[in-house]
Amino acid sequence: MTERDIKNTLKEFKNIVPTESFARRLRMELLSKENRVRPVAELVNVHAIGPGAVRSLSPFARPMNALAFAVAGILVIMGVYTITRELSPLFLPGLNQRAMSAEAAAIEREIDIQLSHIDYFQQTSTESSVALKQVTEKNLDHLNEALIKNEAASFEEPATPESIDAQLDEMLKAVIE
Amino acid sequence: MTDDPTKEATDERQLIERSVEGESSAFGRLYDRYLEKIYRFVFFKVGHREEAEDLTQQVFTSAWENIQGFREQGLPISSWLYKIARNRIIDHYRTKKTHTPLERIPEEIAHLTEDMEDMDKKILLERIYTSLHTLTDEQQEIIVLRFIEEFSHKEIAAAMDKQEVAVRVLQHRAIKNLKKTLEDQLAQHD
Repeated sequence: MTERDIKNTLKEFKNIVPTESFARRLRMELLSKENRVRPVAELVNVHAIGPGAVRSLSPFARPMNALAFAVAGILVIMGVYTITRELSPLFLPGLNQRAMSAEAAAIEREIDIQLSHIDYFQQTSTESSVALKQVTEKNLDHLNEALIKNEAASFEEPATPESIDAQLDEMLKAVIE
Repeated sequence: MTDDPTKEATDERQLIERSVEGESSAFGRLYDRYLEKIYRFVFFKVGHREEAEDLTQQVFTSAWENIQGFREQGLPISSWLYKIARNRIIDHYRTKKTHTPLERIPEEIAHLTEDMEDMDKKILLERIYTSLHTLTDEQQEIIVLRFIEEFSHKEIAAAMDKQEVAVRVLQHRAIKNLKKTLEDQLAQHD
């Protein structure tokens, strides 16, 4: 007997097959099972770890454990908040929101003041130009020296009651005649 | 099954992907492809039809439930299924209180040889079956996977968690021991 004989004879064992009824039943059974993604809790092999171990792993098994779990949770949340805040590209150690707002308000006020100054300068400039134009158009009459002197004389020699009476008499005579 | 190994591998990869996504019909096709192989492997270990069916059922149920955890590493799913089967058989023998005597010829083997006209071949087949159980577990597995299921050394190495070189050495020893046991049996009968 050679090894080849043995190997050839071994191939005969391929004719060992499960019964058709078994193959069909198992197929139906498998395909009828919904294969969902199982939660982590189901993946924990309770029999392998031991029910006691699983119970002790539960954070709510005892009140003290629950409290410790809650504190740990809060610390983790705070830690995550701090870390993410510091790792943020917008995070600046000297950044103070209130100070930034006050500074922005002061800058705004300063800008308003400067704008009001600009308005004032613009208004005076317009008035000046109008005045200059008027002066130019009136040929500087008001600067005539003789005229100014006459006006000044009229202010200096007010009409007296005697002169007014004489003027009235002359006017009445003229009316009578 | 197709004759083109590349197409077959691609087809198998697609079936695995669809099974991982929960498509039962795809897993059904993988089941059709590997049921007989897994059943035979288990049968040679336990030598009893009902036990072999029970363990085969456990293997495929476990495979379907855990298919999402299967990560293909360039090998067919067969290696993964054989690993599950090996573990189930180990668990089976760990918890089982009574063992079926493997030296006797089971009904399946008797049924297999009953229509054989060549008596020498029939006797040889039965002797090979009983001799297989004189080998170590690993040698027995190598004989089944290599010469009955015609697995590559790479596939066997993956299924048994061994190096390919170690598988070749193990295979050489297994066939040598099987031949020696058969010769000893023939010498006793002569």
